[in-house]
Amino acid sequence: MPVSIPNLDSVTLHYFENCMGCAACAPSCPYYYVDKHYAPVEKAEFLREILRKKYTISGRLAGRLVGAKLPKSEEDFKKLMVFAYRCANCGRCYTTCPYGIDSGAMVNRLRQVLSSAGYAPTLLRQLSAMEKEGGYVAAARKIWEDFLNTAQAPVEKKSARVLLMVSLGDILISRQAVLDAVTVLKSVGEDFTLPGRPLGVFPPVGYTLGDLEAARAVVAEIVKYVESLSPQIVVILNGCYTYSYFRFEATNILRRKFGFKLLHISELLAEYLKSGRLKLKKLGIKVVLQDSCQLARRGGVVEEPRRVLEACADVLDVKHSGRDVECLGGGAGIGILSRQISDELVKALGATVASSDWERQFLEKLERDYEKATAKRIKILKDVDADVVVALCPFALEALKRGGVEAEHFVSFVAKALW
Amino acid sequence: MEILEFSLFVLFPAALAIFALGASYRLFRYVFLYRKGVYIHRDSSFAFKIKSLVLSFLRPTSFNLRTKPMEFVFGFMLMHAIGLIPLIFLLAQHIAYIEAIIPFYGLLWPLAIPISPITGALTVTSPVGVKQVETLWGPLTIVLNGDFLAIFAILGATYKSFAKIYERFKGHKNVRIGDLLIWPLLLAVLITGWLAAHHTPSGDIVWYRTMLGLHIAFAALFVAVWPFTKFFHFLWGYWYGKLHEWYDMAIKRGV
Ligand code: SF4
Ligand code: SF4
Repeated sequence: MPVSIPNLDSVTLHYFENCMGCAACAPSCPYYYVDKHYAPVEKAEFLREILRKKYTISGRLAGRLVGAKLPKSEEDFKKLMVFAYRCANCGRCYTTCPYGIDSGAMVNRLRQVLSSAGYAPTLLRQLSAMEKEGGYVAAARKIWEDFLNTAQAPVEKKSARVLLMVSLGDILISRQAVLDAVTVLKSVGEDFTLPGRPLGVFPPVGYTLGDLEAARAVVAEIVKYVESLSPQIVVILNGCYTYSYFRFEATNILRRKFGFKLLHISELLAEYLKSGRLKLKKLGIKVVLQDSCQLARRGGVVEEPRRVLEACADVLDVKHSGRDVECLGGGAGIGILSRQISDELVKALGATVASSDWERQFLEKLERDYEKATAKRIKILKDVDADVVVALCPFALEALKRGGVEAEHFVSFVAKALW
Repeated sequence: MEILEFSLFVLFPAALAIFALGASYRLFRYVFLYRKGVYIHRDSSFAFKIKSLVLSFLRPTSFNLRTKPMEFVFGFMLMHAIGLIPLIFLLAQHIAYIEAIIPFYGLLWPLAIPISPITGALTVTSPVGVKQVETLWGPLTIVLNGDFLAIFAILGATYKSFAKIYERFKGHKNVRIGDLLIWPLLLAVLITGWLAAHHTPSGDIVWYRTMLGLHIAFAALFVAVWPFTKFFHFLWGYWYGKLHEWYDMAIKRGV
């Protein structure tokens, strides 16, 4: 099958040609502790081989001798799938690389190549298609209506100050946290609204499998819908890639700035706290905060959740926090493919998880590797004498619970401390 | 024409021309491939921007020290920080040579490093007579001298060469074919330079001139392949990479 190879811009060129192969990045990756061959540089190297074949004279002339090759056989593609789906795009290797090479971004481009040749996890592909075509809205109508009935909040109100951007994924895996967010907004007397339908599944799912066209369509559609309601602030609950994508990539993808400001819920709560609108009582609980890679390292939201937590709990230190947070390995779609979450998606949307025996085995191995990747961080968190680990990312929360950690969503924890 | 003259007057100028063309090609590609993005930057203070700039450069070094101490000692310290960098750019003989090509390079004379811990003589064979290296380094020249720096760099480069061969043997993809070519070249430059400086294997002037000629020939090859190999990181990749990361992370995202 013909593959579509990413275009070079100056940044991709830098990632392509300035990696020294020093492997200094290796220890930053959670998947390196599963298998040394999952080091960031080695995963990115598969894309470099493809780029060399297309963009270098030596690659075209000497091929494999100079490390240039295109995947051709089914075996080639299947091998690439394994490496491409051992990256959470957490960005830690980016900041530990002496040359500022973002291997996570390279792995995402590798997924673009794979996706263009028809290789992507079936579940992600289906979710992306549903998100793009809007099929999830009808499929999950009952779930959504049930949520709205419970939430008892304004819906599709025009020109409310705040729009809470709720996705179907939020309802499926963090329903209580969404309801708690509504409770907090009501308690501070915020002029807010919920959307009239879920905004995406885990928007944009297309990004996770490297389908940029689908990602662009979903972002464009959601932004259009949001702008039709004219809120001043759009608040995102999902602390994983949805936040960093909408906050830092979406404007570039649509080539324009938006008429609203985008905040993560922790940023909004920190604003309330500062202005005295949010009053919290001390719960007398020792907590440790598991930062989200996408919020802290790729998003710059480090202090806000801390400030809010400090107002209601004793926040203990844990090493590798804030912008240096160690990833739990579930970003960039890996968490979506995990059993707990994919089961929910199958139930809610009738999605298919695997379409072949090979894919079933691929997912089982991914699940095992994901668990191993999580283990290192979980041990560090367990070693801190905290009553509960507070997480901002829904996939991190699931991974923590699976690893036997007492864990709670940031918003739910804060809601308990409301006066 | 003997090898020294050939290296000095033919190979090195040719290498410089290839270098200039190659380096321009590589740099211009960045200019032509630049695409302006549409982003909403996070606000941050001037102090934060400066602090994060410094940290972007420091963070990988401290991470490397913590996670791969051998790599840090041999790869970073011995080979780069107290090996190749001062050796290439500050060795008195190199300053004298580069100054002949780029006059303002002579501004670095106060930082010049003598060739050995025993003598500060710049040259005893040149028709201009004996000239002493007068530097700011004082007693530090016990370590900061060509002999020691070359040994540090040779140790570092040897370690890296074996490490690369071992990694390749283990099937790691970060070792590329270019590595297996450039490490021997670097070692050849270092070893011939060290031998020439020590008038080894013979004190005979013909041997000395041959060894120096070989050193300059290998250095010319180094300069010619510079823009086409990972050696270019020192001039471009490192600086572009860190500054881009700083822009992306600190200026854009406020991290
Ligand atoms: S990505 Fe950076 S740290 Fe990793 S091998 Fe390449 S240059 Fe070294
Ligand atoms: S972005 Fe994170 S998960 Fe991906 S290769 Fe880098 S360190 Fe590993």
